[in-house]
Amino acid sequence: MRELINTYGLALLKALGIHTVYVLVSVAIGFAIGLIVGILLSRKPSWSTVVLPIVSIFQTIPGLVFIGVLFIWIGMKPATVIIALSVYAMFPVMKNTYTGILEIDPKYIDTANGCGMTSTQRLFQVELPLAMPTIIAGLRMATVYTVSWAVLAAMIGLGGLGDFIYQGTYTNNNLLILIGAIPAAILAVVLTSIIDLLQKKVTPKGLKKGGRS
Amino acid sequence: MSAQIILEHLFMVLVAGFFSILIGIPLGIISYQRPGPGKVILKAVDVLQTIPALALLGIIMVFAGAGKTTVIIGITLYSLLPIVQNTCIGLQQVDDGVKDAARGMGMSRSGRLFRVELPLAFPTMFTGIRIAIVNAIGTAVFAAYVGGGGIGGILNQAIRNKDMGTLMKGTASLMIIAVILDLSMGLYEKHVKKSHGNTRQMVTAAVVLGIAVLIMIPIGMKGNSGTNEIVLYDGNYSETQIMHRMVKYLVEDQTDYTVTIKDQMTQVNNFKCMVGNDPSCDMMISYDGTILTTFMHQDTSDVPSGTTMWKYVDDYSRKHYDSQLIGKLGFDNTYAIAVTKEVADKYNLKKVSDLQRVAPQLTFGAESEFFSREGSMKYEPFVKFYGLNFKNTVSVDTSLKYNAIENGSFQVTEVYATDGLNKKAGLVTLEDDRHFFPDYYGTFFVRNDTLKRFPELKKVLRELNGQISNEDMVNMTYQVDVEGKSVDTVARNFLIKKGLISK
Amino acid sequence: MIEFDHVSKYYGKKQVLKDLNFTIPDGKFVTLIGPSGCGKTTTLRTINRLNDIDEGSVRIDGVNIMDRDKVELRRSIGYVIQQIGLFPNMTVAENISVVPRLLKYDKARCEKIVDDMLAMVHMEEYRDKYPSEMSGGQQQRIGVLRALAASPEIILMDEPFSALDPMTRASLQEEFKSLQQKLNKTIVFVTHDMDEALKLADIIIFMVDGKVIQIASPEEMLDHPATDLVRSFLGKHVHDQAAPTKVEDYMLRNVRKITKNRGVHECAEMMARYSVDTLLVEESRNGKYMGIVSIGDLRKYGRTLKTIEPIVRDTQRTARVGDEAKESFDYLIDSGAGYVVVLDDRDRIAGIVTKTSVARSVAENLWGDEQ
Repeated sequence: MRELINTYGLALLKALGIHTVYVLVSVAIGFAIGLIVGILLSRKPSWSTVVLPIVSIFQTIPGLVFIGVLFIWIGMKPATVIIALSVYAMFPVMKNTYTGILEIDPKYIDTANGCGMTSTQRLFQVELPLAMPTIIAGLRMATVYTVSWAVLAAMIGLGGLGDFIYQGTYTNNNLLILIGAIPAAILAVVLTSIIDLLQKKVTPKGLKKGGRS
Repeated sequence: MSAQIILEHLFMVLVAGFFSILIGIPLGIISYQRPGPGKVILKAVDVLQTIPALALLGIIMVFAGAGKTTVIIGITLYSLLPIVQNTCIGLQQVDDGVKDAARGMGMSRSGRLFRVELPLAFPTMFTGIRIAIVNAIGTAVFAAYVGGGGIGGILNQAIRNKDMGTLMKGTASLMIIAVILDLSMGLYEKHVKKSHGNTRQMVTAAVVLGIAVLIMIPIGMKGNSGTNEIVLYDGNYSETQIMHRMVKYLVEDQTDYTVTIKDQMTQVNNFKCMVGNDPSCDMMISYDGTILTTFMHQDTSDVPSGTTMWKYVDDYSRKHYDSQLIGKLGFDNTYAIAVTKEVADKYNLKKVSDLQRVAPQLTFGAESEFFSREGSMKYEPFVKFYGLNFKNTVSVDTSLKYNAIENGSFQVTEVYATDGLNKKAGLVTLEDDRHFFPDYYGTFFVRNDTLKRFPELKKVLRELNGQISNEDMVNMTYQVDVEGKSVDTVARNFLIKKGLISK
Repeated sequence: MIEFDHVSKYYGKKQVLKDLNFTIPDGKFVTLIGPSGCGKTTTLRTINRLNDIDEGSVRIDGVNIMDRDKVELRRSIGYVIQQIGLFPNMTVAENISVVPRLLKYDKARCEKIVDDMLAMVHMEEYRDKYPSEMSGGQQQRIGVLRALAASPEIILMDEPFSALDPMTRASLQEEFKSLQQKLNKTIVFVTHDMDEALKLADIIIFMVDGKVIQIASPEEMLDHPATDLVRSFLGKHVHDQAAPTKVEDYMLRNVRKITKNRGVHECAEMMARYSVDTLLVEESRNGKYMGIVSIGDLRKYGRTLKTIEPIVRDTQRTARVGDEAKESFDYLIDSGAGYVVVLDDRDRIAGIVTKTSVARSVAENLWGDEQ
């Protein structure tokens, strides 16, 4: 064990740090874009019949191919990884924002309009708070996926926990795979736990008791 | 790219989808009904999701062996998260009033679940299934690493060769599969919604689908057995692919044996498939140095003096792997250090020791394997040996190494001496003037029982002894990777040219 | 004053409002009534521009509403809907002060409004509750307060009480009627319940198929129904010898009862489950009627009690099976009470009579089980 720590400890810490940075930055960017696009789509649901299928088709491009192609275009820069991961992180946030807003009971939209809210006020005071649990669920999904996909950074020489996993698979060394995979799993658990806490915070109090209103 | 490959891909996705539904929905129901264990289940599927595909498949292969089974298990595990989560959420979201009413009408717990709660939770559950299936299409790409076939192998090679055409075609097929599956699932969902959660219809459709999948299993898995053929896996490098095809043509030309080349996988996984308890292939091309370091986990320094590495590895294989090495094929696919033409000219580099002066201005890049801390033919020992001090190091996936050096991510790299892409990328290999790298002689690694079952095999394989020089190999891989010729043609032409087979 | 001037509206090819012309004077309580699909809700929603009209104009105090900013217009008009629509993410206080806050009133003024509003319905202690913690009747009281909060001159109400149980509905109607008399607002009120219309309205506008059939005061309408359909809607209010006269003919039997030795929690839970704010209490031994327990008392004193017995209130008047229904109706109308409890010959609870239950049973007599 001590030998293991001596050999890999520092490198592992560094890789974990890089991995975390990739995940946090990409999820943050993906969340921001996904939220905005999701809101825009919810304003014009007719667009979504065009946009959502296109988006879900693009979602099927394997990370391997996407990062590979981006790499050939952009080169070995963190931007390549960040762009790819942000795009993937964006999908679930966007979808959940859109459905979260559309699934709000129409009576709330009606009363919000009836109270004389502008569409911006309605968005911020009624729609977003009510859709927030669904949006955060999207964020959670995005985070879990991103932790896993960030491994691909190693594919283009940009470090992270993927380094260990790639080395392990190519040199027939299960220990190395585990050294990479276990911290990745722990990272995911920690981040999702934080999001679960956030979820509790953002769920409007009145919604928690499963009230019927 | 043949329809066969696309069907294979689809097959893995559907079978895995089927099993993940079969497992995921009950797990989702349990998580809903018993929040205690439910929390554990939800966390567990979360964690499963974070294990990178490459690692997960590698681990499963240890138990399940190479091939589609491993891929299907892997995708099934990955698909659990959206299905379990959405089943649980969907059930939780069913209006309390409705649950109350069902309870008030005296429905039993299971009656409530099947007649009220599940039908109402169906849209959310189905969204989970759709997500799972669409994701699975992407995950199945990793099948190429463990001999599962499908579109992944094509994509990997296309990235490596920067073959945008093939890359687009492969990706487009994935998208089309996704669209078709998604649309048909959408139709089904609409249909179910129209029937207002008519459970019988839902179940009927699901059962029909299930039976269809079960019928597909034996068809999709076919070709896994067969005792009267010599089985090889396809490699994920042109060199392996060419050599395995040479074996096929030569053996089939000179004997009555049938040689089958199955799906692509990496060297490491191929080796695992040969030496495991239930070997699924008979032989592979390898290199004495690779077997020594990667598989035996030993080092060049472990080779006793007075014997050659080849002999040492052969002895070891007979003793521990129930296999042996056959032939030295002639080419020596050792590591070589290469620099870009530009750098070579600028600094007038000919030998590795010439790098000493200029290393601090250069970045060294290689696949992650080379940076591994185990073994002596690796980066650390190498720079120590030559006293090099590079500005920076970069590890990169083998499939992207040549792309990376072409776009200037690094200037010095470690290559296989016989890689045709060296020629294409205009790399200049530097002479290993102080002999750091040992020879890596190409040789066949064959199981002993295979030799017993196919007595003529040994003799035929030996015909290739010393026939293929490094230059031959570079030319052949160049023809495949750069000129885009098929491996079959290249392998066959070579054998004909050497007079080993008749037309 | 709200003026409808040749107002028409189409959904695709279908004309849903057909040349509406009428005026709603200030301070009047006007109900729009008619069979479902007659366009009454659509008409209501054109006033605050939740629905736009295709022809004609709607003017408020002489100004065409199309010339006013939509948002500003809506803030100046109160709005209450059947589904209540309290924002579940906001507390009662926040819900009430939605419009004042939109109008950028300062904080102190918003607080004051909330206090005043809650005091009006004696619900001060609900200030920081969330809608999901209240019964349907309480929620709709808050819904009404929300509409009143910014002191609009006009309030639009779309079947506000029809989702409530009969007892709660009866008491809310009473409360609201007296509130209206105090505040003197212009109220436009959509209902399908003629009894409710007769009880509350100054003017009834009867619509059928997108057209106005009759505009009249309740008395006028009773005296001279314009068509047979109006007559049938008025039902029992028009004298008809064949109509049953006994109290049990008009009685609602399905009432929520509880025995006096039940716990405070059980009682509260029952109220929440059935969304009611009053339960009838009976003796535990012989099932005799004792009185009522209200959610207000339960809240006020419940914490110190084990059973509900000490907070059971006697009701002024009961009727007995076999009594003439008219006596109870007269009492209901004169006293302003929401309901009368009907007892059987052994003093047990047989049911209740509300003004609405009368209209219901008449409807049943006229149309069978259609309603």
